[in-house]
Amino acid sequence: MSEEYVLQMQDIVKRFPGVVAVKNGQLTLKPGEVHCLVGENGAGKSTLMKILSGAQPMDSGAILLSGKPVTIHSPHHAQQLGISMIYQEFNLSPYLSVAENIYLGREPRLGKSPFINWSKMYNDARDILKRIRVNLDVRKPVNECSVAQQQMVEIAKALSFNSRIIVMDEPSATLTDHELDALFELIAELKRQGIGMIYISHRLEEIFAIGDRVTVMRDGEYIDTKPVSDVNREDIIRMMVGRALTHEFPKEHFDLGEERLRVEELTRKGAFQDVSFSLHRGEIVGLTGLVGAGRTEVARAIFGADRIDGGQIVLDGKPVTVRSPQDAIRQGIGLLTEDRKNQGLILGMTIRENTTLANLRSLVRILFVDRSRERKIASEFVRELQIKTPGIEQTAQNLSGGNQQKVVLAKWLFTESKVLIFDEPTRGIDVGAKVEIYRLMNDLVRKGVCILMISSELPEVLGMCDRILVMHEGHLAGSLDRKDATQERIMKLATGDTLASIV
Amino acid sequence: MPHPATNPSGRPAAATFVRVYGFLLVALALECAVFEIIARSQGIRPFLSVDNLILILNQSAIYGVVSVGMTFVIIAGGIDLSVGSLIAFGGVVGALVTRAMADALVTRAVADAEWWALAGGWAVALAAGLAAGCFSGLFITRFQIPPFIATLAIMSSVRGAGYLMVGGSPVSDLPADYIFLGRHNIAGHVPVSVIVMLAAFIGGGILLNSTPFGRHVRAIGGGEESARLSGVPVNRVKWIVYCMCSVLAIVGGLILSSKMRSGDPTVGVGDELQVIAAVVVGGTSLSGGRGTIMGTFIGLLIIAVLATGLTWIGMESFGQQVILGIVILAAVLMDRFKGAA
Amino acid sequence: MKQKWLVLIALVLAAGCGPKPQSSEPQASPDSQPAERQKVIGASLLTQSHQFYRELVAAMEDEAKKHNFILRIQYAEFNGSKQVNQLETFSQQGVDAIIVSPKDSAGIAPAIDDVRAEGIPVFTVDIAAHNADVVSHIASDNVLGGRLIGEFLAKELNGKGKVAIIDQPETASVQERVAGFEQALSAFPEITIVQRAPGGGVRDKAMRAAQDVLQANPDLNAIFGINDDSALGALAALESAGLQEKIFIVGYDGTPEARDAILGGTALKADTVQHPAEIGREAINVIAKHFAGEEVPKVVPVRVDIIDKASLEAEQKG
Repeated sequence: MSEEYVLQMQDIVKRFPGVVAVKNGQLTLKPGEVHCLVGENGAGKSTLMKILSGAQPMDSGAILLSGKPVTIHSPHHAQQLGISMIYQEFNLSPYLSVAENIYLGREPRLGKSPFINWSKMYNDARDILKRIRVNLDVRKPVNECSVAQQQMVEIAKALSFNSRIIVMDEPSATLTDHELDALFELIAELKRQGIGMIYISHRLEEIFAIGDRVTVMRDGEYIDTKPVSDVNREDIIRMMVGRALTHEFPKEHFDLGEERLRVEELTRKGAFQDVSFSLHRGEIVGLTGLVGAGRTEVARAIFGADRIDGGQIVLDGKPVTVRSPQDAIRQGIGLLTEDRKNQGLILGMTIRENTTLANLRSLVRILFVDRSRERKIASEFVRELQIKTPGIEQTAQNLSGGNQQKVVLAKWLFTESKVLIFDEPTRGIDVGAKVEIYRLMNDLVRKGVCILMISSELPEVLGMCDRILVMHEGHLAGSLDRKDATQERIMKLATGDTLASIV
Repeated sequence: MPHPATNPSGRPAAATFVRVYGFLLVALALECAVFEIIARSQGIRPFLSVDNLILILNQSAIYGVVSVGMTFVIIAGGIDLSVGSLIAFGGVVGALVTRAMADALVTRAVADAEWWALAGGWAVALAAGLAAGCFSGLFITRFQIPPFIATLAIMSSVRGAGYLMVGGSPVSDLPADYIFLGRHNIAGHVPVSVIVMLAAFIGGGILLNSTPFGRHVRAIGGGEESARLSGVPVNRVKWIVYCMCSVLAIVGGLILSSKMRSGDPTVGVGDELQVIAAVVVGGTSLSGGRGTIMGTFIGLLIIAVLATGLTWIGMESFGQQVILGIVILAAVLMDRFKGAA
Repeated sequence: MKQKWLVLIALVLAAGCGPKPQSSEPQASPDSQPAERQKVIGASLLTQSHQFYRELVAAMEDEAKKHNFILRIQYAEFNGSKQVNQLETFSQQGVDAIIVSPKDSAGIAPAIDDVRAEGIPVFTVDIAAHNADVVSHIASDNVLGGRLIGEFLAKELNGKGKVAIIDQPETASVQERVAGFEQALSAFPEITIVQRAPGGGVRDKAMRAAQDVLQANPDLNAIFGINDDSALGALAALESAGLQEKIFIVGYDGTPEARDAILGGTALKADTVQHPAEIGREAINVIAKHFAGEEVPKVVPVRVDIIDKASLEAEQKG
């Protein structure tokens, strides 16, 4: 039986001080197979892959390559054995060309001289790109390539090592839909060439699009491996969460109250034009569209992070000027950015400090920050939002994505905003934490906050929003009521098909 | 979990203090011990004494005052190269104005003329420092020029301005009371300069740790965009930080000029690097966001004890420079290992 | 916060509770007579990088050995505040006398006053301090040196021409040299000093200053460099401008490099030579006299001479 597998990982155990990260890791991979590995954050997927890539040693267990036991000493050794990793953040040198990146550190030489054999390097690089049917100039500097092209370069680099096993960690996170299609085509091509792939993703749709088998892990434990054709979405979620998730979108309905926020003909040159809509007490409004349609730009403009060239913002019936995020916060508008690490949190600061940052002034007693009140407030939020942490003095960088998002949420809850804009609030967050975020959104709406949710994930938009605004190339293409909205209608608006827009 | 929960009161106890500063304190103690042993074996006066401690504090007062401002700048993710020039500039301006005012007031027989002249000199010098800081701040915030470049330009201009004002030779013939800031002792033993320095450290410590401003400074250094989108007035805070650093550099310059009873435009060359060294040895990260005033104080002492100690045991200046370099590296390495442990 | 400061204060106290000095006097070294303690002299000199000071220090060390003094040498390296710190440290160590060659003649005065208040005698060598109570100043007779080189220059010019000075006005000894130089030239009404360019006394700056001077005064005849670094900087400027045949230079100090330049027939024609070794010896002798209770003069001038190509060649043969 061992002959049919290119890779077998058996009974892998990995302990860290105080934690068992992987209790019994199991994974098998056939040539030409796409094996999806799923689990919530902290389930042990990454640790298992780090062991495979030689980045971390295992405490016990066995790794067999084509039936032969091996010990992997280092990432370099793993590469020699034909195992390549493609991480979410690429390992490319931005100002070097595609070919130089592919052969970085092992450039072909002119004979035994120290000089690079450029023609051989370019030809070899072209051959590899041809093998995966990618049309890309090998002399182009990598920083001039799109994110998707950079990913192709990473894959080409992996192939140049004659890899038989390629691990892709969240390869789709930064890609547009169109680019994702290209990636899937490439994966299909690699399958035909007999390369085994381990594919890690939070997006369950992708498993059904390209996966052959799926392995689920939970809390460091191996749960099960199934052919993808034998399971459905709910089955996978149940295995991941350990219980049936009855309401993936726990939408609650509230009575619509008075208008809170209205934007009139908001314009920022080069980003969006004449955007008008309103938000009411008690509703969640979705803002969707293709990447680059101007959704985030509208949100930043309302929040004062970018200048507007025209239009007006009306809050609770009164026109307001918002020139900076400070103004916005003072008026009661908050923005949860998509990029939590660079725009949402100060990673080196503690949960306590991040929580109070946007409303520190409310804690000032004669010039000084009231520390004990601050601690009390931070502790309350940790409890209320169920942030998993040893304490409020933990720095934000040590938290998982979901918990980081909760800290961002805590920050905005503490500002007591009237209007909250969520930009891709669940991106990169596992299923369980997603539901918690949705519940918190419900709680906010119950308290009278109105929410504008920007999201590219249509099921989420359809599941949580009362109303859906769709943008196309900087314009508001249309607005759909919850009861009328379907994926097809949204996509039609988003791609510029101006069907009868309502409201 | 790597980070144990802090005690419920959350107040950093002595144990926390030792954990955070232990390495630096050990380094400081080691340094003192080495000098004491060498001093004894060579038959020089013992190195460890109260008088010597005061001497060391006195000799580090100038760098000390400036390092408080520099700590804020570096925690906010910036750097200020102009402080060395500002030290000279502050002395020149203070001396010139004091001398001019003293001449004018004494001829008019104003009571306490020298003290008024002194106060006037301080005020004008501090205002000039504030102006220089405003310029740095303006270029860094409004025009988005990297702090390294902006303060490098200020460094050059201010140095030149100092020379222009006095034509290359020091301002002397100052009133006798001019030495108050640098040479006067309170209660016979405690130098005014040391009191000024300690006040700067205590004030700086409170500002950084206990006020929203200090929190904002750390937030900006930790992630400027996140801070901005959290409503932190990033430009205003940075502006204030550079003004503060420049004004403190002027205070340092006034102390030095008072010590020498002269306004010398040539002093302070390279002092910015000494000050940055004290801040960095004290555990402040050059990439911003992380650092403490207390750490800077200990870092300053490590460097000051070294300078005085090496002179004490008779090492000449080139050798001192070599050893200073080694100590800076060693202190930063120790800090790294602490981070890894 | 509070605890932090408390711990720090504790640390400071701990440092303070180290063994108190039993006696302020350093221990006598075994080879001296047990009755009489070895005297300690602290010296804070301008720089280690000038040949002049190296010769001065070597002579000082030899002479100190003869008198059985301990000599502790520090260099300010052109840093005035560092020099003040060195004086304070010597004073704290309780040395018996301090020698200083000030970087900033005015700025060193308060430090000297404080040291004197501790009862420690202070002597200046080479460069004087302004308005400071020093026991004695031991230095080349700079006024004489300036006058001698001025007379040489006037003779070479046949009493007529335009002269520039590469100056360093902030230093007292240089002011004296220039004063003597001007005294000498005042006897020649047809010689004019057209420019004084500050060159900082270091070669690269002096060279740039000289280049500016040459630009501004195309009809210049001669340059006076206030020390050999200034003169050699000016020489480099002349040679790169190709003017070495038209203009000549006189210098000051007689360093080996300057001697070579004079011997080699360059535009550098003559130098005032000081005798740094004599200054160093004389300084220690004056201090020894002071220790012995003798009266010493306020100023001890040390002889200077003029060297030119002819005198150097004679010296080599002899």
